[in-house]
Amino acid sequence: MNDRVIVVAGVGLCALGIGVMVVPVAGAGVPTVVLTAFALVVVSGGLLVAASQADSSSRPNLDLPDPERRPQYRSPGSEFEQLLDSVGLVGRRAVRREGSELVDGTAPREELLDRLTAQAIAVIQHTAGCSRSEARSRLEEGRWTDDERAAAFFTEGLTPPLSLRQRLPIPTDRELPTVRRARRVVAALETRLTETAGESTRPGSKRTAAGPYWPTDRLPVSRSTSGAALYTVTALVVSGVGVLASAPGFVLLGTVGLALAATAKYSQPDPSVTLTRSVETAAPDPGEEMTVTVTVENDGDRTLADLRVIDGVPPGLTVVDGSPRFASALRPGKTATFDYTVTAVDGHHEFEPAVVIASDFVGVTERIESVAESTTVSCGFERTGAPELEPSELTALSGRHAGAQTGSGVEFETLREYRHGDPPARIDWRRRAKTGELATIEFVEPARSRTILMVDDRPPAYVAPAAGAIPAPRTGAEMAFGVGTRLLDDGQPVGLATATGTEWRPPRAGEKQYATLRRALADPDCVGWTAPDGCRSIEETVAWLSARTARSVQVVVVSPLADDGSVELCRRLQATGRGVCVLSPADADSETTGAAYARLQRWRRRSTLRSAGIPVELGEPQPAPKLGEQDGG
Amino acid sequence: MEGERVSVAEHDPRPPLFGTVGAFVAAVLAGAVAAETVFGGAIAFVGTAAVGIGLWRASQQVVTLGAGVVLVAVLFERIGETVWLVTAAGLVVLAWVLASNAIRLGRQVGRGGKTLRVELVHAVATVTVAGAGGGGSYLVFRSTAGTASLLAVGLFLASVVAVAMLLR
Repeated sequence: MNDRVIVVAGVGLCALGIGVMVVPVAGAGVPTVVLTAFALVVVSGGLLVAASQADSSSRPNLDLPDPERRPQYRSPGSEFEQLLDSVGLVGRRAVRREGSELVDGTAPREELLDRLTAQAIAVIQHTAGCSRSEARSRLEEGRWTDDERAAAFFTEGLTPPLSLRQRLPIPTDRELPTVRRARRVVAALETRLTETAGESTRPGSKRTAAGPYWPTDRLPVSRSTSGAALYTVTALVVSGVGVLASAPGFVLLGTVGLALAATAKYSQPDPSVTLTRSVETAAPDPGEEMTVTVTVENDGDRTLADLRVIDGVPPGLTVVDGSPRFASALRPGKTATFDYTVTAVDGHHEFEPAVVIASDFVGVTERIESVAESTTVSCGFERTGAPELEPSELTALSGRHAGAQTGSGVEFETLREYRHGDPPARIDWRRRAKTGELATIEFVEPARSRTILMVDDRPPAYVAPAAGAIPAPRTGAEMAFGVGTRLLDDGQPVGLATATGTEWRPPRAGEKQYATLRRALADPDCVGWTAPDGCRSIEETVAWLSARTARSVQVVVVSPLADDGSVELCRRLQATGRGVCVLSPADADSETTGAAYARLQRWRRRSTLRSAGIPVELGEPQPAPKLGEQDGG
Repeated sequence: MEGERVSVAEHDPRPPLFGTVGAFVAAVLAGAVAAETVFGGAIAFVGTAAVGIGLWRASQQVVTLGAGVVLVAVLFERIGETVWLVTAAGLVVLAWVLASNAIRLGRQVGRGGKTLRVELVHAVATVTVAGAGGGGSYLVFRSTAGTASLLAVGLFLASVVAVAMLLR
């Protein structure tokens, strides 16, 4: 049934109704039973219509972007905290006993014990310089710490005795003894490591980006705000009750809702807007605040009664004052302006398309579109941003070394038959005088160490010290640039690769390479602000790099060491015969047990790498954002 | 090893004040009209409180539930008084519309943004359309001296369903 037929039917029925009202005699002969049945059928049909309109397919779910903050990253500590929570949730019964079976195979308490035992043995071994069996013995006898509760975690088993109060079925917020002891264990291990070995485990927390930062791929979209369906349903229900109760006044109420719904139907928003954006400076210094001014113009010929704009703040920039969101009513040809302040961080930042939401006069339907306006900001990545580390500290093979090729040099390698064009200085004239034959001397040709900077941008590497902080791969890009600059200044050829294989720059020296590295590392297309959806395996990455580089090339892996995969990557690279060293961004401090456990894990990974002969250097901690302090707007 | 801290402007998703206050006042007025008896007043009070809680928690479902309860109280108490019925029901609709718009504005723009102009346009447009619809119907109703037959009302309802089918 097309719309025209429906309109004709609706108008016809309405005319009939008016006719019956004006000439009441026309409907006098119809029995009440028939009228009631008619009303019931009409109301039922109306409710079906309303229900179909309320179907969610007509209101597509759409996550609007959140421009105030950077993408959210998961903390590695949260995984451990979840394990502690699950111990508390399942209680003492979920312990694998002889003859019992667990659905998932491992009880949370046992997993907690396994993890902390492995971690504790590693720490005791390292700090006491003892064997593994001795470390286990100390653990089982409680001789590893002065903290009795921490020691009791390993000595009293998974079901420690409960107090009388804890045995009573009274709800309590207190944690179970096992969980409290586990927290003490983590704290004691960290203290032991810091005090005994003089090693700080403080840097270390993990957050993995989840979901796209600027979800505009489904735009444009038109959707109901649920008002139309609700108006219609309410109107029909009230009107139906009025008919059945012979109370015509009720029907009047229905007309209120239907008037609103009909207005929305015939005033569908169709925004035609132009957006212009200007920034205070296109090349700010890192940490500098700059004002972004946005102007919206209604290009269409209809008034936009309700226009909302969410500006596309790049993920690297943080809004510190004002709001990138704006709402206004705009007549045709009119403009509206709003501004907000962001803080710049290192990198090349390109603004996302702004999201424009236009609603009808009564707010029943809305149309959401994205409006592109190219604006870029380039910040930092200057030579002065290099870390306070010398190339010799970062690379195992700095300076000159013997290359695989022979040629000119000072160290004799071999004699070969003279070839036309060989320089006279390299002809062995003594041999010529003795035998009359021409021979050319080959020297060992010295070569500069060539270095590949590999930024770990695999999904597990997307870690951040706090919500809204810079993810480790982006910090790693800054650090890689600093190291690359130092090496280039030292005359060494430097190349660039990412662990996901999205970027490859062969090692070269000179100013041109400096510019190449700067451009690549600043660009979020090289190392993004959100984790890639997928990446190649570590074996494939190593094979990919091996195919592109000689064995004499050394690799500086810039990684947060947030997972065991990063250790595997370094060790596999080392196994190819290449020199490998690791530069690891430091994270800000955090006092949670989960974060402390994550720090211990990072310490273990660093120890593993160092024991394998791979040097590891830590960078400076980054500033932590203080959330929830809104000065503007 | 605590780093330097930087203040960050957060999105405040609470409904803007104008819409919040306007919606709550409309709900209170509708509840007052419905409070002819203690029973009706109690129902209206519960509904109004739910509207307030829904606005405070920015919950569309709670606001809808609260407005529905107030509407029931209005229908229950003012069933035979057409003027009061239409007035109170109009206030309920206004409360729900303002609250819904305010909640949506809060989610999309936030309390930190400038929203007063949009809210005013929306409130005036809503009152105008609802008043025109309800008032027009009331005039038709009065012109027939309230003697419209059940058949006429049924036919109107059928035409309303036909129009509703177009609202997709």
